Amino acid sequence: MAQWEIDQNDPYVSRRAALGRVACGFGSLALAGLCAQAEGGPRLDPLAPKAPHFAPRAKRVIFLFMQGGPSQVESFDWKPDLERADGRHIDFVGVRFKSFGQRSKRKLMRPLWSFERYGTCGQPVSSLFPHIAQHVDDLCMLHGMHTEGVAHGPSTLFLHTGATNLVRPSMGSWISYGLGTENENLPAFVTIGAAESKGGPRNYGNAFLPTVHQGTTVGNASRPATDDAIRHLKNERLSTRSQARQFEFLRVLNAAQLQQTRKDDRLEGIIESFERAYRMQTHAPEIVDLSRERASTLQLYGIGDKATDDFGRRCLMARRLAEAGVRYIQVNYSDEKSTPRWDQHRNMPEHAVHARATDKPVAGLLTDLKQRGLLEDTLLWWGGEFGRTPYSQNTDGRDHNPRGFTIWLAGGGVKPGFAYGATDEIGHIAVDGRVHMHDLHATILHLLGLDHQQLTYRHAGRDFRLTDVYGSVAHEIIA
Amino acid sequence: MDHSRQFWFCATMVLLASSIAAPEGRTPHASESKQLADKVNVENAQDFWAFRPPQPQTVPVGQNSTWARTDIDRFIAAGHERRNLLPAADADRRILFRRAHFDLTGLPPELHASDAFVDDPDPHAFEKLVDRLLASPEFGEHWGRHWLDVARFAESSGGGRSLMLPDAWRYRDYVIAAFNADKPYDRFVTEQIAGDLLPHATLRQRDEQYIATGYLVLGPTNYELQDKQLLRMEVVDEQLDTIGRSFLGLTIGCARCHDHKFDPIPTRDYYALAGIFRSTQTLTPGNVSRWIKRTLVHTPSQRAAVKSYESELESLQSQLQDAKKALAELASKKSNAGSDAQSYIDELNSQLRELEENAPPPLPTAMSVVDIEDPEDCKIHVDGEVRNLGPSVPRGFLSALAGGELPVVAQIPSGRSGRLRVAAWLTHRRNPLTARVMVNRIWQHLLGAGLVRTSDNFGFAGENPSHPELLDYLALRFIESGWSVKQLVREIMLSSVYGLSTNADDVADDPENRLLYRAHRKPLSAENLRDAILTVSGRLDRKRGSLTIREITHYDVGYEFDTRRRSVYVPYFRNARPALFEVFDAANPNVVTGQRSVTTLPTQALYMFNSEFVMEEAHYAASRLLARYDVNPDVRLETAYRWALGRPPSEVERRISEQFLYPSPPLEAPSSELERWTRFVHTLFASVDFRYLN
Repeated sequence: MAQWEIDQNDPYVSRRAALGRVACGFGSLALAGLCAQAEGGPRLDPLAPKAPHFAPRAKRVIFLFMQGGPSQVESFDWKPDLERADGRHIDFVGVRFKSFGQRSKRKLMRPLWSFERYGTCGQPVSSLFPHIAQHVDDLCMLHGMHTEGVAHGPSTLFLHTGATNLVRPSMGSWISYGLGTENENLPAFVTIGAAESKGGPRNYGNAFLPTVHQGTTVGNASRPATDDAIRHLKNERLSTRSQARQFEFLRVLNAAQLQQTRKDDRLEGIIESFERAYRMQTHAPEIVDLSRERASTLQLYGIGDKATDDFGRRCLMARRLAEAGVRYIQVNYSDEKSTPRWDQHRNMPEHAVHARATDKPVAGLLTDLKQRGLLEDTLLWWGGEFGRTPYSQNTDGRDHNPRGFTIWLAGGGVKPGFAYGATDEIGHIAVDGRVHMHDLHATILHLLGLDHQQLTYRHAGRDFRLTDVYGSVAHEIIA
Repeated sequence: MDHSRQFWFCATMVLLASSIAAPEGRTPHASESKQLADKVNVENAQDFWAFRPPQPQTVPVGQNSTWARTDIDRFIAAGHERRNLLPAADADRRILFRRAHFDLTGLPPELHASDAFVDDPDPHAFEKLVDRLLASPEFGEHWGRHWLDVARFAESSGGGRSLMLPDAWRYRDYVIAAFNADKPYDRFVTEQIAGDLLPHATLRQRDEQYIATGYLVLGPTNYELQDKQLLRMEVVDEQLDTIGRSFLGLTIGCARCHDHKFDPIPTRDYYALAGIFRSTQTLTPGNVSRWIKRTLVHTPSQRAAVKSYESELESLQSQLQDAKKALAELASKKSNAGSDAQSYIDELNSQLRELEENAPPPLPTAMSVVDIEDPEDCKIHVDGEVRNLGPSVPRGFLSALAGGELPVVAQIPSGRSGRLRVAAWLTHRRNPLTARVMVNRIWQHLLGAGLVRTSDNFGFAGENPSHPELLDYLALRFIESGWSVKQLVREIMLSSVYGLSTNADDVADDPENRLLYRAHRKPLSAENLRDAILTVSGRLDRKRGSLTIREITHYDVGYEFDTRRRSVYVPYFRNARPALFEVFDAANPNVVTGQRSVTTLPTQALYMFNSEFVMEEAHYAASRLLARYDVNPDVRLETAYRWALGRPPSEVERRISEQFLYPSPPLEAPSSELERWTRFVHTLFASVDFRYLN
């Protein structure tokens, strides 16, 4: 009963207390029986916090998903040689359907933005990200990333689930399954502003894991962040008061129905789910409600400024969810276009629009987490599903590049002000300190205290895991 | 291209490709990619029950002869007696009536029929009821949905860009019709695997068989995957995985990269089957691939209309192209004739628009497959990698399931993929799994748990049957009846075990009720829940079949669901689903789902509380109640209970309901009569008895 006793002050938490109150509301009849019915012990909560395999460095993850594939050579992977080689042709072997295996010449294109070194670590950042640049001493760059798939759908699925095509649980679901939730009023895995395309729900799906580990969506990519909400959390028709009354009625009605049958854990589970829902309905709107934040905080995230308002709100909400104990929070910089956000096959200058929309909010999040002491045990991950080619496409664009790109991590046990791995001299192929997406998954699980080889789930006759039969932890980046 | 050239071409491609696209730096952990040949033992496979053909069983003679009504009961009673379990009492007739309706049709019963049934003195009343429900078209809608779960049916492709599949509904309707017509299950299997290769007496039959092969095509496929070699193999892998789990209850897919760790399926068996499906074309080439379409029967005038449309379209487009070229030339010569040319182009454009707007309906097509011209054996893909090929394996079946006993189906004629032989192998009466797996599925849907509870896994890693003799008995009965699903359903339902009450105390010896001393309480599926709510509100649209996607677009993203048709007809997409389906565990169409997950989540509670749908339908139900029973609140209360829960309220329920509806002392801000009754019905919808079937 421990779970119930903590919140005795909340009249909605203790069913027994509630039934006592109901005695006034619905007539004191047969209540002895109903109360006895309601006295069942707590059932196993599949979301109860679970101990990790070993001491964790991070308790939660915030993943800032830069959908479409931001260019590494124009963000964090400075290649002076590429500037000098502008306009030169290189031999290239096609990876796309029409050009598969074909050799051809491609024209290199210099980075369109200049780089400068920042912080005491002196890591270079391009002029696209002036705000994030101020935080380089907290960032851990992974320049040797590589991944699977060449098109958005497969690569995006791979990033989230470790598989390009086969149906596998999303990383957040694995973490929910492995660690449970720290806050019984909230789910363990929340994704904010997710897209319905490019894998859509599969990117936050539980696949064969128990449904309780599915990501809970807040808002979606096609609506502004001001509309963000957990579905069905609000009742548009009823006043709080009349809903409370209806909820009480449901409680007694259920107790009366239960009285007519033998004890059944599943039926009691339904009753409990209503209790949790009611708690969510009572507490979660508060968490996703940004109106009580200080003006200075809003400003920090760029909220109120047209360009940064949307992503700023979502980053701030991520901080609030992190604070409230959600394990895995994904903030999506996504849309529903066939060429999503950072996907500049032509017109690379458009990168500036996306950098402007995200730079200040992300920097704000870093500052805010640090101020609150949350960065220590929160792992931040910034990145896309792949990078972009150093050669041009359609004159002034760049194509997808899964063979070498940059992501960065911060907080949660990674080395601050550190750079690991490298691409070749033109920023095309990861050649040194290579980290495959499977390896990144393994490393993130490791930071959370989970051994990626032990975090398994038996389904369809065999044990599955996020990293399939691959993945090794990049110990080099762990502080 | 002759063979040697083709070989060199392939080899070069493989070398080239493996140097660029093999997953560099992905080294499988040695321990896990290890071949486990020593554990796999095809020869001794028959030591395991599931790989032995079902054996004829002697029906046990028990002591409790009054309880046992059928042979099925005698098998069940033997289990009770072995463990000294007493079967629960028979379910209340009203409960039995409701149970039978939901189990056979997925819909709640009509009120008055319930009274008539409860009072019917005819000892055959239940039998008549079962026959009536089996004959109703709702039977196929409900049982078809069970199969659609297994066939991972969806009307969009999922994956990256989730393409709509505009013809998928034909497969759905085919399945519904098959269950309604009681199509023999062996025939049903054969049509889905090889319908396009079967002879046909009429064009209608031909079309039906084409449509059935949609089963092979409906999987989640990432059509935009650029590595087409990989895509082709992934489609085959998906087909094999689906066939294995849906028909055989075997996880064949495990053998893709290594010999199966638990079951006697060596990798070479996997590629023997893969050769058959690689010799079957499912995809069309292209940057974004497509599926094979077969044109269905249509009238000559339909064809003529499409032909003339196409030729007009072509001619207009070429005129337009010429005109544009001419305009460009004029512009370069700075000629004044440019404005004339432009108005001509405008005219052509408007003609084109008009033509397109009045386009005739396209010829009807079905998703299907076709045998490739030169069927061939498949090479083993080492570690499952498409560019790491080992020796070629002759096309064939799982050796553990053939055991030398199915010689008829052993050789594949030259020039054929071998799919017909796969069907013959699957439906051979000595195949140990096909009949067992299906009777177990039927048992599961009626009794709430399978005799083998892992209904998609009959292998070593699955569970053993609780009643192996009964499973064999049912499998052989099923085959002998000509694979009739309806006869089997009937036989089970007329047994005493089906009619047990759910209310019996837990028995320490059998906490999970595996021996069926009482009935399992069953949750309503998402579909049943939605259909039940719409039935109570009186707004269910009972129209049957046909295309229900409002407008065919490229992708399923952002689709708005607004239909009040039965749930089986609600468009079933992979990347867009009605909230109710999502929240209440409707089958995930990306995998074979013989058994839905049953969760009780706060998101479900939030949905029941706050969703527009539930509140709206509660409003309609309350309006209907008030319109019909406007005088007497007692009758109204009783009717609401009977509509929603199929029973009158208990005395306690009556009193707490009255206190909610007509509080005393009255509330400070009393609401309208309609509002109060709406809230009342809304609460009944949210209550546990509405969600579970007793």
